[in-house]
Amino acid sequence: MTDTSAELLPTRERRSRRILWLLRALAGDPMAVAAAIWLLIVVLAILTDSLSLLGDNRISLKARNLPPFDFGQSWTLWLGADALGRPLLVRLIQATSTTIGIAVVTVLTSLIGGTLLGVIAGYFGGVVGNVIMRICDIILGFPTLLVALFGLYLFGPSVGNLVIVLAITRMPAYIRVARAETLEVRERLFVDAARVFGGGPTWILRTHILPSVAPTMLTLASVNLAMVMLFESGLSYLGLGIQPPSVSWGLMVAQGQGYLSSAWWLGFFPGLAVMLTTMSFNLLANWFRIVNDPSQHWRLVKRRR
Amino acid sequence: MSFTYFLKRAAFAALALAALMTSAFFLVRLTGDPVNLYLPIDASDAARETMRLRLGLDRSLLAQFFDWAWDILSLDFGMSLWHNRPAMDVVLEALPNTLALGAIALALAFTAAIVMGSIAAVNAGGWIDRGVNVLSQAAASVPDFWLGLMGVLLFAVTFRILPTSGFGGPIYWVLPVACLFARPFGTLVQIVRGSMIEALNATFVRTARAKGARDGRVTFVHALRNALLPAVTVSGDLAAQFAGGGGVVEVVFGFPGIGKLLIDGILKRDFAIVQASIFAVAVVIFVINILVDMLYASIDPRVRVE
Repeated sequence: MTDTSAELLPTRERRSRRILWLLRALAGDPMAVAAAIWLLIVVLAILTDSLSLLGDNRISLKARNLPPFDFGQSWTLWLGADALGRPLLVRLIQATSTTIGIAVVTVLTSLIGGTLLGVIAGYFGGVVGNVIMRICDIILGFPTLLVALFGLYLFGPSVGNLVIVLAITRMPAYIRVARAETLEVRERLFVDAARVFGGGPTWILRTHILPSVAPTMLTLASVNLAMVMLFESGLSYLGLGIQPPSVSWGLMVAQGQGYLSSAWWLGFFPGLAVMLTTMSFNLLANWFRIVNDPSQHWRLVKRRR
Repeated sequence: MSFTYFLKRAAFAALALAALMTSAFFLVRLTGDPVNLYLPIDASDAARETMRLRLGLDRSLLAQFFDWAWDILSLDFGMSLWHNRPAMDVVLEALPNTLALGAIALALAFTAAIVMGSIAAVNAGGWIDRGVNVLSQAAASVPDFWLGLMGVLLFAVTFRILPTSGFGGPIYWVLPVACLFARPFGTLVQIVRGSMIEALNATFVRTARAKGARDGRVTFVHALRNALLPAVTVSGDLAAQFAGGGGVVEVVFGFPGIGKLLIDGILKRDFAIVQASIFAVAVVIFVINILVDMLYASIDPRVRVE
């Protein structure tokens, strides 16, 4: 095996070998390759939108409910056009930015908030820790969709409220995991040593606890991304999430619903995008778990003899 | 199961519900005009003034709170604006439909997931396993409302063999059940497959093989019984999520369940219905959690409910 000598190589060499090895592991799982390609397309879509490279998106009565796969038209019309004659592909690309953007912001909010609260609850315990954990129990006691719906009803649907409500409903999961990890790390020798050397709690939390907790939290966040996206599209479909003139995949399905029998493509493609993206996140998270599990990664990388 | 355990769980459930409702009560009064919760956005000023008086918003916050809490404690959630009937009556009518829908979908998903998951685990790494993996990932990732619309498009609009929406005989249940089936099925297949692979490699399975038990018996008696526990736990969580109604799916099919009632109540700003349905859902979830605990104890003799 070449890996045994890897310890002796310079860092840069070792890093490039690690990347090569990861690529080989990716090639061992065709589904993960497909998922990676799809996510690459999604990233490209977000880039084209943010650099405003899209063609025009004006209402055109001539193109109303134009059917898809008419390759004689310009490329923006290849997926057809919506009820106002706007090219569906352009709308889909614009919706990608909103949908993914909201999912990422929400996950980051609950990741940061949840990790901080969980670490505090785990490290200090006491009354504060107890209060934090009981609030988590209360939120987890109700279905996520129910809490989110109720929150959006109380405070009114808007992008800001959507992010806050979804972040709060997902936060208890992060808090619980962060707390459990902290409880375990807190008892380790190096934390004791830091305390003996006179390190204050904030310093210990920043330099010793947070770095040990971070990998688990990031894994959790990557799994949650798909879930948050599904919730957002459900809420937007119901009319309680993204509001027009903004557009998200869930909202597009809702807008296409009325034309189900005459223009199926209006609802079909955005929903398909949600499904493919969610599935890609899940498949890659699965692949990532197997790669990082030494007892399983032989499944992906065949040994060269 | 001891009586004190039951009391403890009931006390916590009541506390959680009280906390949710109370924080909602105060948050609404801190952040805006509660009249907005009860009336549509385009309501006239006169209607707003009447509602303000009816809700007693001119009185002190504390007096309002005690009044509101007393009404809830006596299970009086007020009249539904939309149905013009006591809100709890409307909720109690919708509840059995939701429970039946959720129970059917979950039972089917659980059974199918155990069969598919076991088959995948026995053939781990083979093409059957790969196929089941892709299918279950797709089922776990598909947005249920979209699956519903596509079901309507295919079976109701194109083939005309199923109704688009509504409520009536068994034929109206097919599409809603199929849509609610997808996500738990996908999730459970993954879990059953994982724990089955682990169980099939465990020493007690090797012992069973060594003493000469047949393959089928080893798989379905020795391994499966141990692999079942995580699936039961997850099903319990899923059941609790379903109690909130098949939410979006019920809306797609116009299925008269608690999810549709709640979402309609939210969209039509019918606060009495929203409060009453959340109360009912909390009670159902409490019962489900107790049942799951009991079920867990009966499958795994090592677990004691305490």
